[in-house]
Amino acid sequence: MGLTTINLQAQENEHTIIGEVTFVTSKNAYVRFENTNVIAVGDTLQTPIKEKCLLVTNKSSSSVVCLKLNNCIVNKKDKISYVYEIKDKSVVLESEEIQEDIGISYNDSIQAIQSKKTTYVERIKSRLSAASYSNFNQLQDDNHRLMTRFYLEADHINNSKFSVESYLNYRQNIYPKDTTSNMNKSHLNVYNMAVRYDVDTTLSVTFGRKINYKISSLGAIDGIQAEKFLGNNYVGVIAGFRPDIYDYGFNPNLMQYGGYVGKLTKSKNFNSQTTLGFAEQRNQSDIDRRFAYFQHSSSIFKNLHLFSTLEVDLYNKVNDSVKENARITNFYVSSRYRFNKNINLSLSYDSRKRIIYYKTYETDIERLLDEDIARQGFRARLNVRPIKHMYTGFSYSKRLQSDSQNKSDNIYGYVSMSKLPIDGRLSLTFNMNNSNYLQSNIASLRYSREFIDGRLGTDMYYRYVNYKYNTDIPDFAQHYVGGYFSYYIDRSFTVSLSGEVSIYDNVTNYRVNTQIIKRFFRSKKQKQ
Amino acid sequence: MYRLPFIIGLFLMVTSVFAQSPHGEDFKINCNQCHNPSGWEIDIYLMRFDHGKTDFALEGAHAQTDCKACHETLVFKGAPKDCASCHNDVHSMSVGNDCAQCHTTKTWIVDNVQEIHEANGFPLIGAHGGLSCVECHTSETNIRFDRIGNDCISCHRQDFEATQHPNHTESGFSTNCVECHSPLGTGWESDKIANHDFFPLTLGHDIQDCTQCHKTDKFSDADPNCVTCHQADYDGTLNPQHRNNGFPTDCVSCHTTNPGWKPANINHDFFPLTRGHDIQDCKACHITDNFSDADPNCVSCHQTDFDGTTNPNHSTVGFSTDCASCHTTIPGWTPANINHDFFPLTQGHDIQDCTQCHTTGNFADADPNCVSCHQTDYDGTTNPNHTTVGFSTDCVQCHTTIPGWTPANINHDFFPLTLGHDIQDCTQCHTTGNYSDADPNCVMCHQTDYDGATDPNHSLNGFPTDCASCHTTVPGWTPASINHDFFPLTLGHDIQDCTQCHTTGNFADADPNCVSCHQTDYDGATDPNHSINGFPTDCASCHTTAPGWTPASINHDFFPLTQGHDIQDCTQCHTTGNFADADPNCVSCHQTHYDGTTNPNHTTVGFSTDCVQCHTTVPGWTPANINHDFFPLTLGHDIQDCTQCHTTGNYSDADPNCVSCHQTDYDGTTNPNHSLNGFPTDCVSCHTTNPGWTPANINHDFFPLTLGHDIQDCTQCHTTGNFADADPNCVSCHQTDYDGTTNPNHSLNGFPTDCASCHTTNPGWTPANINHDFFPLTMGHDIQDCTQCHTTGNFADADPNCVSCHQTDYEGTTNPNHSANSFPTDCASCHTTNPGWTPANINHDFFPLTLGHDIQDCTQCHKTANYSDADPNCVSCHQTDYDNATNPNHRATGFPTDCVECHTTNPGWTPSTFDHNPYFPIDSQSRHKQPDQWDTCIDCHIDPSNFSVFDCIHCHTRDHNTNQGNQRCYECHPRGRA
Repeated sequence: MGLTTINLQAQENEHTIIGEVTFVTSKNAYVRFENTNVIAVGDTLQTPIKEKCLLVTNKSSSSVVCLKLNNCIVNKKDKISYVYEIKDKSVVLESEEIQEDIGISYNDSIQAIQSKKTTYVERIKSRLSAASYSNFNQLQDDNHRLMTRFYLEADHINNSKFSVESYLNYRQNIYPKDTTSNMNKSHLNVYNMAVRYDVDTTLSVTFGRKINYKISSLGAIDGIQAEKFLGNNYVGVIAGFRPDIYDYGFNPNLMQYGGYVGKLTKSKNFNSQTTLGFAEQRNQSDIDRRFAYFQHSSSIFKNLHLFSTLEVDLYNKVNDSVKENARITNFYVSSRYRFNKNINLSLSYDSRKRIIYYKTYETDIERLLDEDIARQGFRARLNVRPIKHMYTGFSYSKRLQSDSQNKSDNIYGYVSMSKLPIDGRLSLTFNMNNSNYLQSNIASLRYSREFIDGRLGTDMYYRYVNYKYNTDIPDFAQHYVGGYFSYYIDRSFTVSLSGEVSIYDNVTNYRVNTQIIKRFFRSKKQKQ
Repeated sequence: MYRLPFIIGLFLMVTSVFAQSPHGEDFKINCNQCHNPSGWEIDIYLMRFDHGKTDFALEGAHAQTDCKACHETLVFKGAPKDCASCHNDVHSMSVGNDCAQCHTTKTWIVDNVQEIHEANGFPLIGAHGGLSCVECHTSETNIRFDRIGNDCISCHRQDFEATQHPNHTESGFSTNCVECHSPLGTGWESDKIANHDFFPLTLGHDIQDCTQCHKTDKFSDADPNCVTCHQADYDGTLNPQHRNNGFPTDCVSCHTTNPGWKPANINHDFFPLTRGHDIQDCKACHITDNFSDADPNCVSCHQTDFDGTTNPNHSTVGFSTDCASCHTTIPGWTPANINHDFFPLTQGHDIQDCTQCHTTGNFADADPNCVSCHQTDYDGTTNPNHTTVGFSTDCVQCHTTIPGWTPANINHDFFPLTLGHDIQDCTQCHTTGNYSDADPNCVMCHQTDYDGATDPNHSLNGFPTDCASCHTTVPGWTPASINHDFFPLTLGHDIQDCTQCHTTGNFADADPNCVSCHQTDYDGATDPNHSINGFPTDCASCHTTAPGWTPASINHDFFPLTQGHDIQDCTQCHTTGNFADADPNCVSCHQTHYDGTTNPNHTTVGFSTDCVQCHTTVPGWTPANINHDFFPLTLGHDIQDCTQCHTTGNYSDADPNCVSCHQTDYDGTTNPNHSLNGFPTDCVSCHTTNPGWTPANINHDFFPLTLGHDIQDCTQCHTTGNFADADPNCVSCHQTDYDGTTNPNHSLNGFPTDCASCHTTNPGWTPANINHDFFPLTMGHDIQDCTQCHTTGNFADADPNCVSCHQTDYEGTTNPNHSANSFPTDCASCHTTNPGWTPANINHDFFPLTLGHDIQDCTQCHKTANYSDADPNCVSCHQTDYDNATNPNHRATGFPTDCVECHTTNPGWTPSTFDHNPYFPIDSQSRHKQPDQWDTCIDCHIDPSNFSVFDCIHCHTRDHNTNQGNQRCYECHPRGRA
């Protein structure tokens, strides 16, 4: 520990920071502090016994250059202190008389003071990527897709209370001319484009399009969202519009509004976040959907992690008859238990029904209600690291509907050795699936290795797929051979290329994907 | 003094903070894994910390991510590991919270779409292989994956319902598309109708034109019955005429799907057309056009044949009109097989002359009963007289059909006529004419024999009258086997003279108890005297039936008479006449032996009087096995001379402690001196019983004797006679080595005398691992030549301060001149250990060198050799720029010399911002900011060389204070308003 700063409050508004002498010349001395924001050129530094010793002649963000005063003798590693006084106008609020005049309580004033002291640090993350997906098919026309994504998360721009976030996706499909018309379009999807203003550390207001992750099943909201923390409790409101159901654009006919409350729990052995929300979505002036939403995540004794969501629709309208009975449309619960560093077990269950928007789907309501059967899924996964550098795991998942439709039984296993004697990682996987019409067995072998200090990542793999149809379609086998190459030009710039050849019978298909990613980071020092 | 508490408090707080780490209490990673001597700032490329050693290896994009994105505080432990903890769900909770199910750490772009779908039972093959995700996952967001399901109809319901040719819905087609359409195809076209097995489309039906049968769009309308399509064919067929003949309309009953209706196989199995019926002329039988008119009964065609047959006359005899009952279809009606199995015509009955039995013209009149033909034979038979004896009239009971009535087998099994009974003269037993009068009981014939038997007297002895109980049918009544098993007559009992035992005339009087015959023998026996010894009167308990009463086997198992006890002279032990008086305890016989034994003296030692504890019955009392397991006599202890240890007459006096015998050995041992070294007197702690006291295993684990210490010569370390004197500290032996080492000089350098801190026990003192972590020898410091830094013989003399070695470098550096600039002599503040002093990172944050300041030429600002001379104030460098600025004239206008108030470091001094509003508002809200008007400075500041001069009247007209200057305008209208 070469440098330490201590804040001491000798008097009510007097503070001291302490630095350390790092270098001494015949005339000058260099002193290093954690930061020098409060020091100005011309200030005087003191020895621990409060003798004025050094005059600041220059400064950087963490060091000051000083002239020795009064033949003061300092040596390397000596502690030097700087005493300064905080001149904060808010202290006037401590006057009882004024508090009464402006009608605020003492607690409010303290909070106001703390609020004024709060500083925001600019932190900007961004990512721009472009990717292409190409299929070259012997039997079908080739097709290509180009995808560009832009992601931005700019918190407290210029250390202000304003933040901006955005996620855009532009897709261009290139299909043969004689294909269906709806496949040749280009799409620009705006998933997120919002400005947030932090009124203080407990209250924020967001305007624009944004997915609220405390009530994420609602999807994006075009409008205003506000959230207020009251200690470990929080409350939020939303008001705005649902994106258009066809082109994801802005649609003023799809109004939606709602709110939520939640609670955070933080203790040594139990951390949790629980949110209970309510929302109503409209189409024109009619109610499209009304539902309640519950989300809970927790960590118990650091080894058991739980996550669950529940959606309950509260509005049903069939043939002009409105019923307000509850209907569970989505239930998901997952847990992960970490026995130790080498073994963990995950279990999850979900039950999902199709979301019915009563106005939007007005003409299909009866059919949709006839098919209103929950599709359920169960999944268990065990990961084991039996020895160092060896990972293995097994999972079983089952999906079904109560009418036996959409059945899928899946068994998956893998063994991976992360450090082979010849360097690189070798993975073996096996997947067996059984559906209503098909049995498939898939085995794959993948070898990965990095070169040039990890900058160049390579993958090679082979997959064997065997399909057995329950009808009289003959069994057939498919072989996949592929490779993946990625190169990190630097920590923010990555290019990758992947290719795959699949062969069955005498038909050979090729798949080629490319991608280039540029990341941006920026973090500004905190202002005083 | 008032300052003292503050100084102490400050010191304590500083000390306590120094002892803390910002990374948490239990953070144990060495600082240099992440930091370098140049400062606490992290250079990610120089970091040595391997994140893979945590339970969250950084792979893919995680390795490229800013540390703070996951570690929100400096306490790294506790950073979340679940995906959802850092990554928001853009899928609107449609796919759960486990990102890793689809994504990898390489990129968010899903590259393994195929595998994901295979794991959900929906492989992307055929037409599905080239689809874009959004063509199936049709949510408006394109990334919310609503539940779809893997059944075809989940996506293709509209296709299914919209299809008209054929209309899938009305035809009731399966919604499982792959039943008809190939999943490998690229469209809905299919080269097969998947499952038409319910109506196989073979040969003539393989027409490929569905509409020929499916005439409506509703495929289920098609009737699978043949005539729905082939009614015209059926109606039009004349040979044979199907309709009139009533042929079935089910074509397949005669035809295949072979085009041309041939071959047509008529199933005539109900009336096989074999041989004489294989006439190929249907009309011969089907005489009308209606084939069903033909009568399958034989006489419908063969009535004439039946009526005309005379041999035999079928009609008269009443033969069946079912020709097949006697004839086949072989032309000529022969052979004609009459089934006479109901009355087999064998041997005497094979007379070929039917009329002998069928005496009337009607064959059916013949009576199958034997006497219907053989009454005369029955009545005339006299030997025996069948009538009188009442024999059955069913001849076959005794006779076969062999002519002559012989052999006649009478079944006499109920009374076998063997040996003496095989007399062939029936009358001897059947004394009356009625055979059934004969009584089967023996005495009915043998009463006289029974009564007259005297040896033994059957009558008197009450023998049974059932002769067969003792006799066979062998003539002469012998052998007569009396069952005497209840009292076996073996050896001495096989006396053949029944009267010796059966002394009375009644055999049942004989008593089976031995003494009933042998009382005299029992009483007279004197050797031993049975009576006095109370021997049992059941002779069989000791004797067999062998004559002479020998051998007599006495069961002496309760006291086995083996070896020395097998003396055959009972009286040696059974000294009295009463055998039961003998005492089974050893000393009852061997008291004298016990008392008289002196080696060892049993009495004195207190040996047990139960001899078998040590001895067997082998004569001579040897071998005598003493259980010495409590003190095993192995190797050197196997001396066979008990007295060496058992020195007194009392064996229990012997002391099991080693020194009781080996005190002399212990005391006399000098190599090492056991006594002096305080070795334990328990010899077994080091020695075995192997003679010569070797090998001796000393547990030296407290000081392992490995490699160079494995010298086998104890005295090199244990220099005194007392092994405990040896000092385990290294220098106790290696002081000379320590003192004499010059490279490096251990003594001088103050090296620890604990050799193990650097050396192993490997001879030659190499390898020697010195822990130089206090001053890492990386890169340029990895010079391998200690003397370059440790210039004196004392390694501790080496000064860790950089200039102690690099003073010359420091002073000789001219670009920049370190000394003149008073650069710190702590080289690490700017340099790494990379040779060549580059890269050198100077922390110039106190004056950021951005844009126009990024000039790389230090001397432009640092004009003197002393870098600290450089003045951070802008004008120290830009005074000339300031002075020369004419638009506006900075100096004349009185602009501040702090350039940054208006300028950035962007070269060219643009953009420059000047907040004019405090002086005079000219922003967009001002009337003085009009498009295309007053948009340049000189509009108001008419003297470009002096911006303090402005002119209002230049633009405005004035109707008051016309004699006042522009300054007056400003004084009254400071905000530019009226």
